[in-house]
Amino acid sequence: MDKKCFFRIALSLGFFCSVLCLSIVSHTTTLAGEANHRITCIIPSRQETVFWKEIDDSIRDAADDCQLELTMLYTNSSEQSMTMSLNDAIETAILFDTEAIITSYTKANADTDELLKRARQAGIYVIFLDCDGPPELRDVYVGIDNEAAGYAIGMYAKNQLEDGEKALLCYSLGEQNIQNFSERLNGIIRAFESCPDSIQTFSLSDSNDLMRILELETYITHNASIKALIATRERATIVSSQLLSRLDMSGEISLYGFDQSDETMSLLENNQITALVCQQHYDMGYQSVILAHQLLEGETLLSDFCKIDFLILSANGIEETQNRMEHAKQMLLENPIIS
Amino acid sequence: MEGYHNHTILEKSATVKIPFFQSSRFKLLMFGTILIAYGILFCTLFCRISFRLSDDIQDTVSIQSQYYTGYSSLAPLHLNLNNYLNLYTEEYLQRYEENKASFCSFIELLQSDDFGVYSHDLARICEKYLVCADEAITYRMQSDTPAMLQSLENAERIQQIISMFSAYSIKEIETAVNEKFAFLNHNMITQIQYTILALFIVTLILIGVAALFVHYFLSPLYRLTTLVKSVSTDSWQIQSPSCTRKDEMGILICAFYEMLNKLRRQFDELLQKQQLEKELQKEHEKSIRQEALLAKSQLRVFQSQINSHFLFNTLNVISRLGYLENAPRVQNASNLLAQFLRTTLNQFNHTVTLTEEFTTIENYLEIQKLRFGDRIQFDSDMDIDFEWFKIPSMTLQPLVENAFQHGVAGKKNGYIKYAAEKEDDTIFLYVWDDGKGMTSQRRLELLECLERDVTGEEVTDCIGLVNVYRRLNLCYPGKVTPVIESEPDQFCKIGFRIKLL
Repeated sequence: MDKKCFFRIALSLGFFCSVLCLSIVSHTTTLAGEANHRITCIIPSRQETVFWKEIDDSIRDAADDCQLELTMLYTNSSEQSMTMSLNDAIETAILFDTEAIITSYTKANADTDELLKRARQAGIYVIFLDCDGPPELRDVYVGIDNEAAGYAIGMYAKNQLEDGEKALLCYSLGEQNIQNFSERLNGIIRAFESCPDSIQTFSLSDSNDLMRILELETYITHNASIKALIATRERATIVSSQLLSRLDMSGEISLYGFDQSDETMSLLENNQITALVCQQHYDMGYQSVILAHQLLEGETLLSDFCKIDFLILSANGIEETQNRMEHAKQMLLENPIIS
Repeated sequence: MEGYHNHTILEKSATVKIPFFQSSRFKLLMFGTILIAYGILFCTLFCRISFRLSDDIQDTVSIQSQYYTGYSSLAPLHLNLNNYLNLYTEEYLQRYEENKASFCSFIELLQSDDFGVYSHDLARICEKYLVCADEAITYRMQSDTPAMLQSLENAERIQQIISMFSAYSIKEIETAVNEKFAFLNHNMITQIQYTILALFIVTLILIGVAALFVHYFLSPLYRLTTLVKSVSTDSWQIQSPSCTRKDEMGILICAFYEMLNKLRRQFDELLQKQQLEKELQKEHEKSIRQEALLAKSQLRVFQSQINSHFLFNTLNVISRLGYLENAPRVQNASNLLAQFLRTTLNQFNHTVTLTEEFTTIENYLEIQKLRFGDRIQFDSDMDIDFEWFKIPSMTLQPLVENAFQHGVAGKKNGYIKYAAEKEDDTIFLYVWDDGKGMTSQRRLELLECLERDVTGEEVTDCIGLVNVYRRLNLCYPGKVTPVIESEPDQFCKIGFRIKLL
């Protein structure tokens, strides 16, 4: 057999065998990841409001950036099977040896306090966000300065009033943390310190209390000098807006409220709300995870209160403000604050 | 000869032995093997894809199945724990241990990398449950009822939490399984697409290879077919074959070309033979004609011989009468003539040497002197190397006679030279005279005359010259060249060149 023939045969066989081998052999192995810190976040639900959706997103983003093992538990999930009470969620987190718990103190009770104590005794860091609780139950709180927010919105409202006009402060506790509530209230009242006669208060014991709402209607109708309504929380803001719409006084009386949600934003866009105090939700969630990571890394925090900026949203400034919030969010994603 | 190509591929042996690795059988075998290999390759590829996909699906389903099986072991585990703690029987303990083994497997499964965060958390909770359950059993064995109850309560609480929290893990596993199936599906589609594309490309390549192979294999047959067709039309325009292949086809082509060349060689030889036979026939006819002419000449000579006796007798009488009448010049003339005639008759139809021929010419010239006196001068020249060169008798004498008759006869003073000279490898026999010569036309007519005689045509003009030329050609066939040079009123030179070699 001549060399050329031999070479051709060898080449053909070699090609065939290599293709056969390639088709058979393929196996990949995965490398085991390093052990990461485990944190648990307990929030209502990402579907509940845009506020919690942003919180949910920001917490997940921050956990990815900090390479933390994140467990999300929901106290008000759209899937009933995944809904847990706050206490059950905390107990579950303790059981699976989480290293930090991020939660809101809203809907907390005595059992919650016990569980949080147990968690802290087990060495678990506790971070509150949005709604603060007793300092002994948490390591750090992430939220807005409610007093400053109340003052800001109060000032905004006061500046819009003319001589002789008054603002009516409609307050209700509801599910709000009492500390948040009182801080907001104090802030608003402080804004009217220089003209205390320009502000009146009205207690909406419960936003769903129809009787009380009717009383409010009567009060407003019989007080022509009232040209501004200030609500201390989201639900009260919405109820006030509905009330003014019913009385057809949305153009006459300005409404100032708290908390950004789909509903309040819609009312704001329709000029049924004059101005709104908005928390930077994304920043709040993101910072809470960052703080948890810092604590888990053994760093000492300068303060147990991480203040998150708030904004006063008005109908004119929605677009600009939203862009600013988006920009701030983007900046945070691109440059996570990791020490 | 043209058109022949020597092929040395075929040896002159009865059988043709082709090495296996060069044979067509081997090539066909290789081609078949390649096709089979192609089939095996793609079967393997497809099988591999489907097996891997099947394995992946099975793994995924297995994981899911294991999960639910493991999770469902919690309820009987807790039930058996309760039963054991309440009833304290070995049977329940044994069942508990069996369920615990399943549950431990479930925990291991949850801790694997295939599962996510929620499952890992669930695993830790399950471990806590087992710790509490085992503690309860231990306390039971130790009869420490309060501790046992506390542990049992903890275990129950943990079991409730597991039930609550498991929804997260189940959702996670379901999502993972769905994503895995979607990924496998997408993967499978992609692999199938790539495989089909590869199959398509390789099929095209194989078709190309097959076409090339068939062309390579059958091209000798096509050439053979074309060749046979061209041969059948009596065309011998055969191109040189490329016999690089050493298999059966190559041998067939080469053998056919050899056969064709052989045929053509034989055909050409046949043609040549026919041509030679034709020439031979012509030569034969020519020789017969020459023999006939010779016979005719001989007959004339014979006739003259008969007359010559009378002539000799008469010349003798004249010589005697001259002596008797006291006429010495008459006696001399008749003696000279008799001598001349004797010589010529004796030498008739014989070859003589140049010396003898020159002697005969001298005799002739003596006779001519009686007529012309000193008016005509004669000269001769013979190369000493040719003294014994043989020529037919009466070769130069007729030329000398012609020189007298047609050349110098009318002149007051004439000159005739007869010579035999060497020129390269020829001997030149000629007669030169300074007589009236001949025109160019006449010269050409004489040459034509001689040519016609050579070709066997009948010649009626310049018979003497023709006779000499003919006899010289008989003596030296194909070596004699006539030479006629002349200028009117100046000279005439007639002779013959004879090749010596």
